[in-house]
Amino acid sequence: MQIATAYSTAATGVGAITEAYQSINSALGGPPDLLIVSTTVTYNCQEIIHVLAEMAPSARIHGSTSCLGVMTEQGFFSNQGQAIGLFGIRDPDGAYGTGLAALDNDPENAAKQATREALSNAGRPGETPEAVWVSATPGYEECILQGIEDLVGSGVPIIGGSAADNSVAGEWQIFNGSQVDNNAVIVSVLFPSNEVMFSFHSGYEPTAQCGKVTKADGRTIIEIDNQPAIQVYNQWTGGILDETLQKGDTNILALTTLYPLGRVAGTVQGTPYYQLSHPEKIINEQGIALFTEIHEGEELILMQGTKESLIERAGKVAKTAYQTYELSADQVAGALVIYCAGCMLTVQSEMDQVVSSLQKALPNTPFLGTFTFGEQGCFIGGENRHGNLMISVLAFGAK
Amino acid sequence: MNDAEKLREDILDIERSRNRERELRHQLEGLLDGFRRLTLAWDTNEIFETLIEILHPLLEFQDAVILQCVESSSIFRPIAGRSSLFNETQWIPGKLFQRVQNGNSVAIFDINVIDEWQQQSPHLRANIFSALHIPLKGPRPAMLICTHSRQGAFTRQHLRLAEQISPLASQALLAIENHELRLQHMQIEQEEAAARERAALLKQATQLLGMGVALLDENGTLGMGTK
Repeated sequence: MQIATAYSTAATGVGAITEAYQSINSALGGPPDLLIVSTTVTYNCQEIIHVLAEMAPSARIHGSTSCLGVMTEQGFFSNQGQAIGLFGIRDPDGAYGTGLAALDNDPENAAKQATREALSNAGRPGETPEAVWVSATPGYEECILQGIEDLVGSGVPIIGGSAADNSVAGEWQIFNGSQVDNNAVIVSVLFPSNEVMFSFHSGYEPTAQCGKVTKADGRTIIEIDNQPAIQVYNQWTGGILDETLQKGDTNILALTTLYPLGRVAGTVQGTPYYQLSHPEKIINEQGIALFTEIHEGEELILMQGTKESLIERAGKVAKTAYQTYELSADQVAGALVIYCAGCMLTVQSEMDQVVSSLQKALPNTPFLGTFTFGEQGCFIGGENRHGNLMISVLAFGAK
Repeated sequence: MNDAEKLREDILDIERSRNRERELRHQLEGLLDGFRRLTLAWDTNEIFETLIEILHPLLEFQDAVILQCVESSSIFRPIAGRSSLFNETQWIPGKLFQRVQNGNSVAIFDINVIDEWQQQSPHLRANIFSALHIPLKGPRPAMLICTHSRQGAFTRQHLRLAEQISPLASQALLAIENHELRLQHMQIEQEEAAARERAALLKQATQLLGMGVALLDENGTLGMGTK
């Protein structure tokens, strides 16, 4: 198995994908079997797939859009919010397949359909994959995870990230080798000849502030402990929303990045690990809209992070991925890194340090980092979850 | 990273290592015990039952069968099974069996889309959704198939275990084959002893006839008599 990455910030989509693909093709010594494409929305995805159809007709293409740029082992790339990154796997002894399906008001079924298509594309219908790599347009990630699990079983790790754009304007897109869609899911099934490893974490710590959701609707918390959710949250955070509430603003996305809400996803010998939700906006002056579903009766914990922890965490998550399998860094052939766009925006000026932390954890190893509007990963206890402000890593063994 | 965060991370790391170590020790102990018990098992049923007893807690299956390629044919037939469900079945190898024969363990989350399983009767498939196929080494191609009624019951962890278990299961297959060979050998020995006895009697009869004193009773038993 060979893995390589490439990037470009060329002025046009055609120029960027041509430059990046030539580079990866050369590094791999031939066309990849699976090509993960991460691009900003500034490039035309339709142009990208036209170029790839000519240059890489045999490759399975898994494409999604990233917020403002990408990162690889060579650095963080964002030329005025524009970049494309590629991650190619050449593995004649493995099998890979991709499938894309429109959500069409039934995301669970779309996820199943995309997974079936991917398995068929890999020549392994009915077979349990080693791992599933998923990208979806934001909004229905929990249903998508459920759909995949219902089909292949809950024991298959599902890792990925929600497509993003540069300004939360709904311009995100996903694509395969023949179609582009802005309301769909793409699934890649992985049967690599080498080990796959994964890790799912955040750079946040629990605080003493906690409460129970007493009223919720979809992705909105209306009440915590029978009090308006926004008031409880503002009190927990020591009044970070005072000014916003006074002004009557509703967008709280940037203000809440270091204070997400956590739920216990599982425990290891009594030590909990958390699934995070990012408060996005104020609803009807009392509710909090999140980028994840929330249910009545769930216990919420206020989490707290620092810029330092968001910078250091990426490398730590990558390290955990291979250490869990008792491998060392030199036994990793390459890694895919999902890094929350919200975290990236918080530490944007220090993104070189984020890359450094990954380079330290994965020395001389190719990796591609994408900035997403929702992260999907598999926790240490085996739970596949969707969260916000999190980091998800999928690594491939060198043997 | 602050101290509390680091401490929590360290606890998780330690627990992860402990769990991994515990799992590996448990598996190793199970496999060693398995090898020991297999050497003591005598007949085909006992060998297979011992194997199932060892593997069941590890692979969490509901039913299991060993298929072996029929001599001078590519068709597989069961040689031992946990239930009678697989009796009289025959399996024509397709892509899946070829991969298993190449030494790969394969987990299937839905047997209904697999060629080899589609050939089987609806009765057999009625209560099976998932299957784990484990290659077995032996003089003829063979595999252990573990099944479950739940879709997606077998995971990558089961596949890893299957790779470790394959030598034990192969050992069981060899033990079964040795038992069959022992039975065949015993049968041959018995036949040879009977033939030797017949030859000796014939020789004795010939000698007695030469002396003119041999008599055969109504059952054909050789005896002595006088004129």
